[in-house]
Amino acid sequence: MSIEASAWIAYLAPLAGVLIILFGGMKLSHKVAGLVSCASVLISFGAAIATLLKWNSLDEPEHGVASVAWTWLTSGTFRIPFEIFIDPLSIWMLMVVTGVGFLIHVYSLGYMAGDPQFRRFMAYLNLFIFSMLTLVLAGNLAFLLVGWGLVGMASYLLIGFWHDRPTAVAAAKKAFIVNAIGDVAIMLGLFLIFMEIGQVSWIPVFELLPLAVEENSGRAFMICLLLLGGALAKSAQLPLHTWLPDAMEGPTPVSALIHAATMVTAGVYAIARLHPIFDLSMDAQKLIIVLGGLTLLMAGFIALAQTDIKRVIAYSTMSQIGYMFVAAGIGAYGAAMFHLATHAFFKALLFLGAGIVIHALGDEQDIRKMGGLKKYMPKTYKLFLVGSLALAGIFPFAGFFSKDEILAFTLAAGDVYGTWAYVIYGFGLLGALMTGLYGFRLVFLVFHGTESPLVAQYGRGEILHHGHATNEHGEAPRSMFWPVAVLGLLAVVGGALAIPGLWNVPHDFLHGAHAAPTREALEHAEFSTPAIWLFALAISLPIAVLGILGAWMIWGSGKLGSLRTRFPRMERAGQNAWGWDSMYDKVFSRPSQALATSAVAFEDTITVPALEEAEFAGRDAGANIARLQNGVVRFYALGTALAFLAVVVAFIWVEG
Amino acid sequence: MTVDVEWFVALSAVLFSIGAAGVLMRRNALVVLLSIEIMLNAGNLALVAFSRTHGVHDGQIFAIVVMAIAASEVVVGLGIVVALSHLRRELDTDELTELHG
Amino acid sequence: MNPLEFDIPGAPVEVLLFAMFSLTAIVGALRVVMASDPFHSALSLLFNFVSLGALYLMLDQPFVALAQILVYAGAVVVLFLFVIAYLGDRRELATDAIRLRWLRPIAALLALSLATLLVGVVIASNFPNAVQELPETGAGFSFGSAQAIGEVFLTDYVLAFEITSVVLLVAAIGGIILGLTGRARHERMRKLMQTRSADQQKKSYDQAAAAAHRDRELNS
Repeated sequence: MSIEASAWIAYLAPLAGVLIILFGGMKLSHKVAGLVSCASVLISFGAAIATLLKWNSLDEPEHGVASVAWTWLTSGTFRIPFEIFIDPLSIWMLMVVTGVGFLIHVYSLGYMAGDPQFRRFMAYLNLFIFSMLTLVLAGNLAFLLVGWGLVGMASYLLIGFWHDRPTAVAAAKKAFIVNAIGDVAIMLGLFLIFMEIGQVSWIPVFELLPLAVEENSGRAFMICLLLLGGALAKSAQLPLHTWLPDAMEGPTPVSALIHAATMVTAGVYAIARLHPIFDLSMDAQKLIIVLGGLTLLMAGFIALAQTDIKRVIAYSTMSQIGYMFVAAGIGAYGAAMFHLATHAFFKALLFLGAGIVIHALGDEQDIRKMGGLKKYMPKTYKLFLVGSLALAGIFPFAGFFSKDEILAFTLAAGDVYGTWAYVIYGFGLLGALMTGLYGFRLVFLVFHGTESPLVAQYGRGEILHHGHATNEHGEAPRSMFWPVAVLGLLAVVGGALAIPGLWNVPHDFLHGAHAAPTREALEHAEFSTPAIWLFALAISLPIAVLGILGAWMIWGSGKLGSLRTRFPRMERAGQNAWGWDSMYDKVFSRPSQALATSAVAFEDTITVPALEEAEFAGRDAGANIARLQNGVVRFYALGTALAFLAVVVAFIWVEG
Repeated sequence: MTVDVEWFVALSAVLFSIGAAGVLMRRNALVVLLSIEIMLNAGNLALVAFSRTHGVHDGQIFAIVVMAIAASEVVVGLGIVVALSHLRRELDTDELTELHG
Repeated sequence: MNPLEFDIPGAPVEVLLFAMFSLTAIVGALRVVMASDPFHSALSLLFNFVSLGALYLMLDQPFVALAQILVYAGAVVVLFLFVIAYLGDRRELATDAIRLRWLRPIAALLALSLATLLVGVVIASNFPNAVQELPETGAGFSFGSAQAIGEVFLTDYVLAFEITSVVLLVAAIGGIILGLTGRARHERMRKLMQTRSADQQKKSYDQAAAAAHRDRELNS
């Protein structure tokens, strides 16, 4: 089997799952539908591993392998092939998406069991995996856009899965609209690139665009800005981030898969994929760094004040993706992809753990009603703790290595971008402190402290789910538990992929002509040495520990409990998510509504009456003409005879 | 031949006009059909006369085809008249105006 | 040698014959249009047809003349007479049923002007003289004979011949279907429709037929 074949299998298996469930319809039992969807993703994961092995055995893995299925669209010299592109970057994403995707599929079997719409859910989930693979395997810009749109649609369908909940439907629409803004931006970027070089496939784009567009020119900045717009929307970065917290209305496996592990990281992937384009504009790079830095800090502050367990994790996701954006902005693509993978592990772990808690407490998500769960859910507690430690970046968990690699590179970036880059490093450190704080705020409020009434109810087995007590079979059904356990294991050992001074697997793996692990300028920066890395670790580890200790003091032991209410304005701002929603409401929503209202008024007073007049005139004319059709045959015959006579007269006239 | 072809064609024109007058003026569906036959025959006469003038057979072939078509038309037309007479008493075309707009 | 061409001093006999037959043709046609009794109309049409047949003979076309007599006089007029006799006395209705009274004078005027115009055109135009030597067909048959027509029909005009026969067949079937009445028509139609044996089709047809039957009873 060639590498192309295995990649195509990995790509198309989830689609086959969708089609089987779709056409099986009601004939498939829930069990079979679940089995089909999990099996298809497992096949995809197996094929992804095969692709990885094939890649490593290739003789000359310099460039990627482009595999064209057929020409999708031709117009003059413009040609869009239906192609996939296999290179270390897409294989990396392929592994993460199918691997984490498979675990979450299995988890969904338990989480969604008993839902009457279970089949539809599994089909959507498979559709999402297929869409995400379209995005990461796309061999050209147009195809990337297709994947970009498809994941947006799958996300829309899954956020609004419980379509009888108005909030879920509203959240789905919001996510879709914000993502559509990004889609349009990417499309415009695509048009610009096509205008410049007339090609869309990766290798021609990467080789020709630097020749066609001057470095640091306005045109280069424009292209980067438009592409970046898409990345910001998809990855929920400032200022297009407002949809992500609302997206938590979807079922928890969806939050874990789409809004933590895979789809929201598509923006990071896109920057890494398109880095030869972003290399052309220094301003765009700076913009990415600044936006990422601001997002990671702001999301950290908001996460501290939120009370919905899923929203806290959602803001934490936003913050972590901010780190990845900073890394991608400074050109440390390897570090960004590394953090992307470890983040997928521990964030999916946290979401799935939260899902177990939510499931157990009868769909309660408010952390103020929780507390003392440690006693009833020791296993979940341990896994959640692992996830939080990885998130906070404590040795030897995964986040420790990946996040600190980013911080080290940020330190090195000062050499390239000037001293202001050190401010971003400061942001990163502050963010690390926040991470420890909000991560362990969650741990202490949910699992420690005094037992809340709701938790006590759970302990007595009084919370029912489809007629069964939620604690009937231990903490969670086995299908929900072991994927979490696997993710926990990955969150522990995942960091070992890159150990400073010893090895750096992501960096070495992503080495290739069009998937450079770091930008050249950064590669040669003064501080780019393992020593700097160790130095960064030495600074950020104490800060993370400080954060955890702070959380313990404030929400755990309560020694600094007074700090909780010390900053009421800060807290209120955080609960309102810093007012972005109301700001957008005032700036965009209200004016457009006012415009729409005036348009309606215009229509009612001018357009509609005018059209009605036209309609009446037409109707009257028609009624008059219809009277000619009186049904009297002789009348019709007279018309024919008259016409004949007229023709005869005309002939005589013409012939003389 | 001493009678010129003009005379035949002129006769054909007169007959055609008479038939047309019948179609336009009579209200009895049967008489309308009869008038249509007159018109068709007038056409045939002209065809045959021209065929003789030029000494070729095409006009005659046309005339024979017209006869066959006329026969078909009579069959269907009379069938409709009979079916109509089962449905309602009168055969007056002025009363059969269900298809008015 | 034309059998009708014999020598009489003064007016040639052909002119006399033409005058006679054209007169009967015109009178017959006028009677068709004007008679108040359809039976008289049909009989007058017979005059018209026979006169035309004679004129075809004068034009050296015996086969067309024969066909004219057989098809028109023999079949069409007889069919008309059958139908008129079957339907009984159906003169035109009282004048109060007439619609669009202004139509009749206009129609008369129109027909008159049409006749004048066409005759005027014919007289004014310069037709070529008829060929004197009548040609023979490729197989050596004389002009206008049944053999000659048959030869031309089955060679140059074979497609027209076939299409005409299909039209005749369709007309025959149409005549039969239109002629079926009431219950018999219903049964026959249902059998025709059952070829696909689609239950739904049958059901919807049954409903339509029942409704049509009801309408008929209401009307009669």
